[in-house]
Amino acid sequence: MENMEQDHLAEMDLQIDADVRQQLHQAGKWTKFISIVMFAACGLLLLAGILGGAAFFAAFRSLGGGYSFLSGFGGATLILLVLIVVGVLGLLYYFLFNFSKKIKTALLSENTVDLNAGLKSLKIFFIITTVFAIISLLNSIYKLVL
Amino acid sequence: MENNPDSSIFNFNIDEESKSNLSSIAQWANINAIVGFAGIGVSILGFVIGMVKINSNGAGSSSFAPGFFGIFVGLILSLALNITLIYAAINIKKGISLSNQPYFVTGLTKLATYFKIFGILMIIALVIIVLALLAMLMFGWFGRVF
Repeated sequence: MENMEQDHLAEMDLQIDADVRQQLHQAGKWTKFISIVMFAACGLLLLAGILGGAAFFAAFRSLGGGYSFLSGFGGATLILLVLIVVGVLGLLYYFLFNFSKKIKTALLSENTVDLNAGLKSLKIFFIITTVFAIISLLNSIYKLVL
Repeated sequence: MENNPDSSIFNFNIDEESKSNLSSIAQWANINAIVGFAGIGVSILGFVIGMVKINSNGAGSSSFAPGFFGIFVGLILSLALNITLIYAAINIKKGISLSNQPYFVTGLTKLATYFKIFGILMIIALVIIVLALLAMLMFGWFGRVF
């Protein structure tokens, strides 16, 4: 009797059924693609920053006027800047990649530990993107007001 | 042969930790979408102010036609992404709070669609970048020949 009640309660609760499984699989597939493309973009950015950095600043310095503030920057500053951008982007998309990896494992092994690890990674991804979106919005408003 | 993660006939329940993670994902996705909508509003406002300034300087309306097209496409894509994300957040939240499987499935479907749109936009961006690089190479090559 008690077992029947527990089974009934389990049926009432949310489940990873075939539909949920399919949607998580789809989400995992696309997030894997997105994160791999972003990792490649980070690699290219790093390469461009290191190889073309000096030429980039020389071009801006030659423009003069509003770009003269760039004359204070050296190659090391640019590399540092590129490293920070690549580091932040890489970390952000690592969480998305981790979500896709863990979700795939969770669906294959029907393991809630992996499912939770994947969902936690997605949560961190959304937290970071939201913080960046807020900073970007505030920057846009600031530019609009000035 | 690779195992298909969405082919299992067995269901497994979502535990309290998964529910907590999914609630947080929904909450942050909701904030992200709202900030996105605000960003769209600020972009439109910025564009209108820019247009008024250009008009007051005596430039013709045709001079900002490419800018208008770009803003319009960006607006539609951004709206599509944020609407999908907010629907995902609302449905996941409802699914968890009411323990309602259909809402939960709809939420995850929308979340998968969000990443699908994101991935497709990424493919389009990659194609445009590759075409631009090819065009630059070709013009550079023709420039040297002629």
